Amino acid sequence: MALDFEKMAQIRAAADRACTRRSFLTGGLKVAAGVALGGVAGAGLAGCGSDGTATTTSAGGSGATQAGADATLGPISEIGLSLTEDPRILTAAEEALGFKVNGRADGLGNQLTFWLQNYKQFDINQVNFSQNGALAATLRPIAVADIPAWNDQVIDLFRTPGVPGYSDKSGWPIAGTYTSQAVQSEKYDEFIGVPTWFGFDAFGYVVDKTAGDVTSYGAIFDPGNKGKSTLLNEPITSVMKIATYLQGTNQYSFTGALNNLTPEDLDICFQFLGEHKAKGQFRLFWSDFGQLVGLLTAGEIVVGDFWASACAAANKAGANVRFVNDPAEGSNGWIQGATISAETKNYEAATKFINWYLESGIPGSILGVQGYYSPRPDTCKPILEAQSTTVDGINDWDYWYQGAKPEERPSLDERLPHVADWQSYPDEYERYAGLWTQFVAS
Amino acid sequence: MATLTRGQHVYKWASGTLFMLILLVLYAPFLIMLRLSFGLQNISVFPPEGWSTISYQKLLNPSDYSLFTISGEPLTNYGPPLVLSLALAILTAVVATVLALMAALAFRKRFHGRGALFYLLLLGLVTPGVILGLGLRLFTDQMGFGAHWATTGLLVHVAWAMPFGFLVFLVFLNRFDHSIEEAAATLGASPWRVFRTITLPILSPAVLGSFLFGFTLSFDEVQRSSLVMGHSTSLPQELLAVTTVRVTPVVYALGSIIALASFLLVGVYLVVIERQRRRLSMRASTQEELPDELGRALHTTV
Amino acid sequence: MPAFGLSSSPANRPAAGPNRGKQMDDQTTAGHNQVDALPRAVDRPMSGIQERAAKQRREWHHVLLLTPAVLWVLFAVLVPVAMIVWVSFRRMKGGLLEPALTIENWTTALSQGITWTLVFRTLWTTGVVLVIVAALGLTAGYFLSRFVKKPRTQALLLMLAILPFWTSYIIRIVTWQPLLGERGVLNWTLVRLGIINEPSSAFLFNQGVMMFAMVSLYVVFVIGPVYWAFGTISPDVVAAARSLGATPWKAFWTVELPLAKGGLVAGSFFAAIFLFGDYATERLIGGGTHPALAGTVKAYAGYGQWPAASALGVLLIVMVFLVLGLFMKFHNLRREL
Repeated sequence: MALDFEKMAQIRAAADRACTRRSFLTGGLKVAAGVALGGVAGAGLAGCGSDGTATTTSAGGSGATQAGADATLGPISEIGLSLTEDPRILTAAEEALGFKVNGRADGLGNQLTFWLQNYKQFDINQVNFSQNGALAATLRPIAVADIPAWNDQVIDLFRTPGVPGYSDKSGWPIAGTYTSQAVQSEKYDEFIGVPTWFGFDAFGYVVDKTAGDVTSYGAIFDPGNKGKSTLLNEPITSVMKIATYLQGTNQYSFTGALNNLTPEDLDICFQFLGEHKAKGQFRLFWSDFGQLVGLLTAGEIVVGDFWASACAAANKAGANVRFVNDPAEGSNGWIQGATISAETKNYEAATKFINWYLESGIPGSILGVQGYYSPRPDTCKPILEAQSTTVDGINDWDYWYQGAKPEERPSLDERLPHVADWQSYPDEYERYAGLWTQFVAS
Repeated sequence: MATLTRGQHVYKWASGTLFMLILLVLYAPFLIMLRLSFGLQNISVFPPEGWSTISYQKLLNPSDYSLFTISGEPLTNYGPPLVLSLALAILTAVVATVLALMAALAFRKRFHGRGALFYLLLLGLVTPGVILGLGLRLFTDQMGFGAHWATTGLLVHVAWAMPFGFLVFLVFLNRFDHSIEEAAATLGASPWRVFRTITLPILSPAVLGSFLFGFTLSFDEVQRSSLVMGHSTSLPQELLAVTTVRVTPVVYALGSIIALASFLLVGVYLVVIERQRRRLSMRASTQEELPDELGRALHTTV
Repeated sequence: MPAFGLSSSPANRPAAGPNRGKQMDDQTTAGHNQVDALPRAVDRPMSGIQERAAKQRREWHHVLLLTPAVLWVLFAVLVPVAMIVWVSFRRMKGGLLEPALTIENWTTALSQGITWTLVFRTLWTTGVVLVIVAALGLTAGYFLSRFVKKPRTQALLLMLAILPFWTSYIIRIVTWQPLLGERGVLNWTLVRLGIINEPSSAFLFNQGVMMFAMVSLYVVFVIGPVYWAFGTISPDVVAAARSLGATPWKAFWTVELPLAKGGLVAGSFFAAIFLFGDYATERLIGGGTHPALAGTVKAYAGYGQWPAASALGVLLIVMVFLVLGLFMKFHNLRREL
């Protein structure tokens, strides 16, 4: 069944009406406008599922200054992947916000360099947070107060250290979301970037064709799968998986966090990788989602660090691939979100757009049926509950978030404790990139 | 050659078979692409199930979301990138052809540093594209210029296409009978008039050839373009971004259309050239020379 | 060397490489002479003050005509290359280049064994593919020129061979998997014909297939020029060789091939240019496990490691120029114009 945007919007609007008279589609904006014009609407909205603190704060944010003057804002430009620059998302945003959002989709391998060379001409980078460290000088921090949707409906993972999914060693995902001052002061009042979707990376295999223990990353390196396994051709995620495997199987105990290895740690990983490449373990190094789906459906590879969404897509096309949600050694979490250019002239419009991204539930549910989570599941819930695109009789909310078919897709709550660590930009990135490039070229 | 020896006969058949095999390998991808574009499945396996025009419908109605029934399928509207790529390709073709023609005309004269300049003008052809895009953007950024398809994009595309046009013009200029021009000049025609009424008409196949090169090289360009297009996305870039998410039959449908359009374009070019050749051969005495020159202009540079 | 035109004093001659004049047996020398013959129209002798003034004006014509193209190359090619050289002496932090200069990128690049592996691999791949492309192109071009009788058929077959060049490279690339993959056309056909029992994975993602793909992408560069070169050889020359007792085989090697050498070298030259810059074929068909220099430059650039990318990029440029210089030494390509 296709995602019906019109229908989604209607359901969403109906859900909102049950709560307030105002449509959530224009939520953040109208909240700010309402508060500034006398606080009537803001008060009405504050009663809807939150204690009102976050929305009240928004009145003090920059959102209030341009109250209601939508037409004077924007247009804004952003870059991202085809997934985030989906025309349904951009059109819905334009309708809700009253200004144009120009989205430029790029290939996976080109985004980092493209942003570094063109950030002055763009407002928002929809990016994997593991790249943020490389982009630091080009980004402008975002006041949490400017994103009213970042309220206490945001899942604890992004607000509280120590909850399931939090990594003690690296401090992620908190450390990757807020600026270091905001983390040190424990106020969490300033973003590096605003998380808009996230997920967990592990590995997958083709059922009945894969040798070895398929509950462990070890299957990728199993001699029985020689010449049929693969890794993503990218240093940060791949090295982290090797480290997760080596540490999880007690072959080595790393000094640094799994997402921030020391030079000595790295040497161990690359020695391991080099030995397996020399033995002919890897059929290829894949480089993007489309290619991976093609490889899986065509039966070219049997085991590797596949993405869950790619496995799902391949299965729809007739393959029999299983994504291992929780390998014995743990999964690798990742965050995608919106960062703002240091040179933006449209900060206010940009924050309004980001706020809409979380508040409307529309991007969250479009991405949701592809297996990704929103930091504000509550806004996606009404849309996902009203449709069933995966398994007949099970609505999308129950399937993707609640673990209605746990053998295929455990619930979010079950998966969080299994996170080994989060993909991040390591201090030794240059070394990562250098060693990885040499490894691939060797 | 009158009669062939037995060995030549064997060789003739062997090399003929090889030629046909080469053609087969060259065309197999198109035929498969065409077949897959009419497939139902969302996968790239052969043989695809069934026949359907759904991918073409999606291509033509990108905002009719109800057509896109495959979960996670990219909802790309190829219209704007197509328009941009066409505009940039035409602009590139015009600018590159004018620059190349001017440079080639200058090369009819012998001057100091002619040899060095010849290589200089071919530099854009020889330098690996990966390096050019990065270097140009680093420079313009230092200068405080943003990237835009009509500035940095055009700069890069023309630098890539111009050498091809330059070579085409040199081949033609080196081969036509200059005594006609001399005669016109002796009779008192101004250099501009000689150029307009004699040189340019004779060169028109080369002008078309250079234009065609400029157009297709620009239309297909990715290596140099990835960083220099600013807010815009060219068609090949959009295709790369889409294949990052999923290779769907829509990509094959678009590919088939582009391939057929290219064939048509080149076909039209050939017909025009053929007519031009006939017209010229009625006037000039160099009939036998011309087909070779056309072939050469195309092939030294292809 | 016959003298053409009055102004062809040695100082004004184009620099034409060391081989010039050595190969008088080469028929393409005739083409070269034509190049020399061109300026007659411009440089014909004049007398009188007026004519000298007119000549002086014309002296500047070529400068005006050349200026736009040269400026364009300056900004779009020379400056970017200079930028790359400059960046290869810098370091990056937080996504921006630091101002201080350093030779660290170079000491790293040049001291690492992998750099030389990459250089060797680039040369090896390009070399092997070029040899195959040249051999196939020569055979196909010869067939077209000698064994296809009708000019119309010749033109048609040649056009068929060249057409694929004019269509999108990316799109041609995405069809390899359905063509050669385990569930692709080739496996499907072979299994149906009973040649193999089950689909093989040997047709995709290895160096052999990658080279095969490269050959199919670039062979077209050789077929055309070779066909043309054979076409310019007068049948009388071959007939003369035969009448003097040469076998067809001997006539080919001693008469025809040397005369057609220019076309072969010109075609290979273009193929080489494309081969040096092509990284996508390795990634998509080779499997990305054995990138060459261009692929590694692209990888470093993609990871935001511009200094490392630049150092290898400069190395790549130097290598391209050296190899193309070698081509020029082998045969002065300007004669082919």
